[in-house]
Amino acid sequence: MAIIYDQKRLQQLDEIFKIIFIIGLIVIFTVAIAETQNYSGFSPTASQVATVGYIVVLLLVIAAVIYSQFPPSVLGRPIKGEESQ
Amino acid sequence: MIGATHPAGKEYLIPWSGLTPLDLFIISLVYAGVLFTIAYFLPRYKGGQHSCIRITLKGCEISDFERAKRLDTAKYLTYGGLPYDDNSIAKKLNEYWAVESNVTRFYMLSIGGIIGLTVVAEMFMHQIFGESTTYSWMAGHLFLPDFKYSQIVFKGIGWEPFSDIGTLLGAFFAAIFLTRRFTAFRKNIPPSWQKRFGDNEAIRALGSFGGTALMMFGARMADGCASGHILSGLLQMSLSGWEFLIMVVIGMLVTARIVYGER
Repeated sequence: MAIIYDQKRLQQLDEIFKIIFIIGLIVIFTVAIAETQNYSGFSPTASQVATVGYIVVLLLVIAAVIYSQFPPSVLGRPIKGEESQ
Repeated sequence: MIGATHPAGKEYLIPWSGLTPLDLFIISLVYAGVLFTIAYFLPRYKGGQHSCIRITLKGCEISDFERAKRLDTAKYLTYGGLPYDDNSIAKKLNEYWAVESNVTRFYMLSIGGIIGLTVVAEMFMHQIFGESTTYSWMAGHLFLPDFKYSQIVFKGIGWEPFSDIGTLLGAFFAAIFLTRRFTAFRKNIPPSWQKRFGDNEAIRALGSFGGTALMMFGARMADGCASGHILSGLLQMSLSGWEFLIMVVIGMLVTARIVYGER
């Protein structure tokens, strides 16, 4: 995916993902509570863990798609710029 | 003597039975004193003069060598991550707080306190403070559901798979919101690796995945990983935790020599 250098666009994308992450986090907690509410086993079942795990994986995929457009950096600066200093 | 029984059916060895809570409390104070003494004399970096605690207690300045090592650590941690501003929390976290030596700062004490309380809470809830058993649990469910070892893992794992998801989410949150170290699964090859093995992606991938596979194999052979044996085990004054720690340190020294060479 092409790297974006427009600061305003990067900030927008960053904010979009942060909102998605917070919504995802609320969904994860809600699903985890709903899945285990009436469960009294010593270990969770595979389907209980998988249901929550799928949401985490989905969040990681979305993050990868969004943040792969950011310039890879070291100490907060784009790597190419750092190397040339 | 075999004493406590785990809800999953396992029994645990209690070497000093008959001790009162006061005896155990005094032993734990001596134990903590020994650990702090080790931490006081252990330098943070090879060739460094000070440990984190010594710098904090004596208030002495770190040397240029140690300052350079701190920068090197910060560069390694942020390599391939996201950009951040000079006034951001990420700059403070990556370049000052996470690599500095002052262990009395609020966030350092908070991290230690939270980990300590989590381990104690898990002990009271008869849960395991570990991470790696989930991989056996997952592999067992996916590929070997009838395997005898899988059955043992299914029975005794407790809520560790959910705590692993929590660990992943916590790291994910920190990498996006705080440290900006999220690398978006890009094929980054850190400079330290490039200096030693070049920029061949296949060799880097082999090193990463091979190293992880070996680490996981070792953790399963030892019936636990660094969380279960070192963090949790040492906190419980477990002898097996010390055995594990010594072997991990030997493994780390050998691996560091192979990966970084003589420097």
